[in-house]
Parts: sequence; C-alpha cells; structure tokens
Amino acid sequence: MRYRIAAIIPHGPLVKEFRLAPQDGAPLPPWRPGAHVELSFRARDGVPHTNAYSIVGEADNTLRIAVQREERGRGGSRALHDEFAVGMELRLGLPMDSFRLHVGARRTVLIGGGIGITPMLSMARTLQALRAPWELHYLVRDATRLVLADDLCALDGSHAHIYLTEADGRPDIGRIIGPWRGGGELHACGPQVLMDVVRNCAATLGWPAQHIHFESFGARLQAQDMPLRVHLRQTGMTLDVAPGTSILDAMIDAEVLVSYECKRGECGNCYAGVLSGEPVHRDICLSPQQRAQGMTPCVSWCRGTELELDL
Amino acid sequence: MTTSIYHEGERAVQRAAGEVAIADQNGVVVTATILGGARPFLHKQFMAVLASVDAQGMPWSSVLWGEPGFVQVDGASALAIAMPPDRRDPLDPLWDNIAANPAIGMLFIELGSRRRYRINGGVQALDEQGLHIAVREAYPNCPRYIQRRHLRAMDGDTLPALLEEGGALQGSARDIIRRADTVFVASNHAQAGADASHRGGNPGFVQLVGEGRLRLPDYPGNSLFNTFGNLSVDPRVGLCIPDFDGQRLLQLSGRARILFDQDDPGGLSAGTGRFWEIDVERWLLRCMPRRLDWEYLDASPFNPAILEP
Repeated sequence: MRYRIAAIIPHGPLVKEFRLAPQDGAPLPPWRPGAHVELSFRARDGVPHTNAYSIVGEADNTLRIAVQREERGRGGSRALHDEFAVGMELRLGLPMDSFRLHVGARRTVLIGGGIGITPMLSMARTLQALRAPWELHYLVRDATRLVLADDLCALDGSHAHIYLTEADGRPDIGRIIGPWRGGGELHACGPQVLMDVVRNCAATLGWPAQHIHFESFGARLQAQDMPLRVHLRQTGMTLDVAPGTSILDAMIDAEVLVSYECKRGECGNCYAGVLSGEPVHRDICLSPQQRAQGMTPCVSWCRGTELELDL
Repeated sequence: MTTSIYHEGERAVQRAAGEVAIADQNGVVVTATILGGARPFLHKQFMAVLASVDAQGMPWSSVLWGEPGFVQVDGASALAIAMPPDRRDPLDPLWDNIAANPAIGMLFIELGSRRRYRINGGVQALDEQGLHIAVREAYPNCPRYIQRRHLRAMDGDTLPALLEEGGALQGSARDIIRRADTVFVASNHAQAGADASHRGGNPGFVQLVGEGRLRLPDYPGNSLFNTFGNLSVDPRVGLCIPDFDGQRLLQLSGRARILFDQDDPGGLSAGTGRFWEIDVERWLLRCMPRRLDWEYLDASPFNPAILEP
C-alpha cells in the first residue's frame, strides 16, 4: 500500500518519528500491539531498501513509526532521515504480527532497550486499558536518547521505569525479571546483546521458554566481521560471502535449496547444522542447545573465515 | 507480492492464527517451477512421501522408496518417479487413488540432513516406468522438528504384505502411534489440490484419546497453513507413520478438527495454543515394501516438551 509522509517529528539527535497516511484517504489496516510494518523505498542513489519498524501507535488516521539513524546499517535509515520529507511517498506492507502481546495472569513484564521501546508502547497501552498488571522497563544510554516521551508520560508512571545506563550502569536484569512463579509473561525488544542477557537471566530464574518473547533489530553487521568462505556439504558448493550480505541471501542468490522466513533471526526456519567453523550467533530465537548444533544464516556470522554448513 | 496462491481455507486459518501478513511474506518462496538448487537434491533422494486422493475424496498418505535417482526432474515443471509395476505394493491405496484422481502432493524429505522440498501437481500418466507428474507449485520447508536418520542400506526383496487393518485403534497400531516421532500428513482441497506435509516431535507428541482419536499439537511453522487450510474446508485427512525399526508403515484415514486458543499450561504446542484432533475411521498396517536399515542419529533440537507418560 502507498502511504504519504504526513509529519516528521524529531526525538533527540538520532530518532525521527514518521506519521504515515494511506494515500487516497483509505482507512488504516488493523494491527495488534507489538506489530511491525515493512517500508519499501529507493534511496536517491537508486539502492532499494526494505526496512521493518514497529508501530508506535496511531494519530489522526496515520500510522506512527520511529526510525533510528543507524550509521553502521545498510543505509536505509540514513536515507529515511536525510532524503525523505513530508509529502513524499513510501510503500508499506500489511502490519506483521510476529511479536505478540501475551497477557500474564499475574504479571506482564516489558523490557525495551534503546529504540526497542517502540513496540513496548503499544503493548503497555493495551495492558493499561485491560487493567492487567504490567511493568515497563526502558533502558537507554542517556537522557538525550530518551524518545517518545509524550507516549511514556501518557502511561501510568508507577508502572514505567527508566534506566540511564551510561550514568548508572545496566540495571540488574535478573532483579527486573524476578524468579518464575507462574502466570508471568516476559517481552523484550532491543539490541541483541541485551536480548542475550535477558534470555540467560530468565532461563537461570526458571522461566519456561514459552513465556519469554523477543524481538530484536538494529545493525547485526559488526565492524570486525571478515569475508567468509561458506562450504555447503550437501549441495557441494562453496560461496564467498562479504560482510553486508547475509549468508542466507548469498545462498538464495546461488539458488541453493534453503528454507527461510523472517530473515531477522526470529523464527529459526533457515536453521542450518554447522559442521565446522565457529558461528557468531546474532539470532534471538535459538536455545543454547540449538546453537550448539547449528545457526541461523539470515543474521549470524562466523569467527575466522571458514564455515561449513550441512546444507 | 502475490496473495492468490492461497485458497479460502488457508486464508481462514491464517486469519484465525493472526498470521495473514506473515503468510503473504513467506508466500514468496512458493514458485510455479522447480528451483534450480532443488534438482540435485531431488536426484539423490531415495524416498518420496505422497498424498493421493481416492474417488470419494479421502486423502491417503503413502511413502515410496527407490534407488537414488528414482526421482527425476524433467524440465522445470515436470517430474518422474520411477516405480515399475513389480515395485508397486498393490495394497497401497495410492495406486487406485491416482487412477481415480490425478491430484498429488509430494514431500521430498532428507531425514539425514533435515532438508525438505514440497512439490504439488497432477499425475499425467502412470506407465511401465512409473509416475509422470506435472508440477503446479514447489517450495522448500524448514528443518525444524525433523528427527535425523541415516539410511544405511536398502534391500529390494521384501514382499509387500498387509499385516492388519481396522477401524478402532488397537494392538500394534497403538504402539506405533505412541512411539511416533515422524508423521506424514495428506490433505486435499477439491480445486487447489493435495498437500503432503511432515509433522515431527518427541515420541508421545501424538496422543491417543480413547479408542479412535489422536490429538497432536501444532507447532510454530511457516504460517502458510497449507494442511490446516485444506482441513478447514475438507476435514478428511490421511496419515502415514513409519515404524522405522519394525519395518512397518501405519496408514490412517479419518476426519480432523482444528482447535485454536487452547489452554496449554504445559507448553505442549510451543506457544501456538493450536491443537488438532483426528477421529480415525480406518487404518492399514503394512510391511515396508523394501527392507530399510535406518540409523537413528538425533532428535530435532526444536522439539518442544511432551507430556510425561
């Protein structure tokens, strides 16, 4: 669907909120708390981008998204920040429901790190409206990075906690999560490092995996990533993959038989057994046991330069 | 992005599960022809899982074996499965079914590497060489929930034999169901055709309820809901459960009911809250048409918990 940029609202130095109105005054599509939309657009240099953003909320028949400028990303967020203005057009897919709100009978915990606050706001509003017991924990580097302050203020302040991690250090995640006592649901969104801490703490505290829900985004590409040589044992093929291209995309381009779905490290559908090499896991879906045997080539990389997959 | 690849039943289940947009996104893997990279994969397969439909519209799930190379891709949209008459088990409903109804769903699953590829289409001819199939759609499936098994050897000389058949589940049929970790499913849509799919889990993931009912969890999948979509329109279903160690195949047919938003405190559905129940109407227990020597390697690291017996 085609959308027109109805307003752009800066939130600090790195984040811009875009309010997107369907062209021709069409009604907004239905969406659930935690949902995201995919934006498709072309940068001025002609490079096409598809970026996913959580829906922050609605205002005046617009969908609200918040775009953080990622200096190390592939350039989509920089193009949105630098090249798109009010009145211009973007293409949006239907809202995707891959990060769903699970309402706990006893408590629902929301943890947002940095720009990972975006899906938590719609979840918190819903929980507040349901009068379900909830708590929101928002971790952010410093006060200049706090975004969507009006949305936060509109929530019941006794449930929302803000942590400035540069000044105070990372809060004790184990204490936030607390021991498993039944009737709890945990949702976390933010950088993958924080998601790993949340996952490990929750597991240590006895939380069953089905009550922990993650979404992660941000640059998965790391500065130290080296070009890789990927050997596919079953296919009998070797691929050279440069940082900036995922191993999965390289396989798809080479017409390798591989299944995939989210391309975000969330579903595990592209899971591949690792025969040799040392994967660097950047997914948010695999258990330690699953990681011991394989990896998600859609987001994960490898230490060293050689990797052999059972594909 | 195409949405026309889904029929009304698939759409209804995608809506009920809240996964319409994800299904649209994932639908891009479905192609009208066989992916280039799937050809070498198909040419090394020794097993083909088929969904066929009898004259009354009842789907049956069957498995065929042959020497690697018995599946041949013939251009981008045609496929042949070598199966000369002396290799056919006449007691397998498959052969009567394809004579009555050309709809066929195929699943090529390499248990040793957890790779699988689905192809649906129609049987164009059954002759002395075997099956000739026109491809309608093809797509890869994920490796999750597949228990790894390596085929050490295959002999050709076991005579096919029907061991038992029945309506109410009893004896060996119950034992095989209790131990099942790999189940193949056949379903059908009158216009859109037949589907063959795989369901796997730890032994015990197929629960026996009373004399003739099975209850299975529906784990997170690719959101396409090909099987559930078919079953929501036509609940008739066929299952085939291999008894790898006992050299037997249990084929069942019955009617399925999809259950959404079920209470699941034990996490048996891995968070989906979806289950399905099958009222079994008829079952056949057959010897495998060939002697297969399987080595069990390991369970899928994705298998969710099961109820402790």
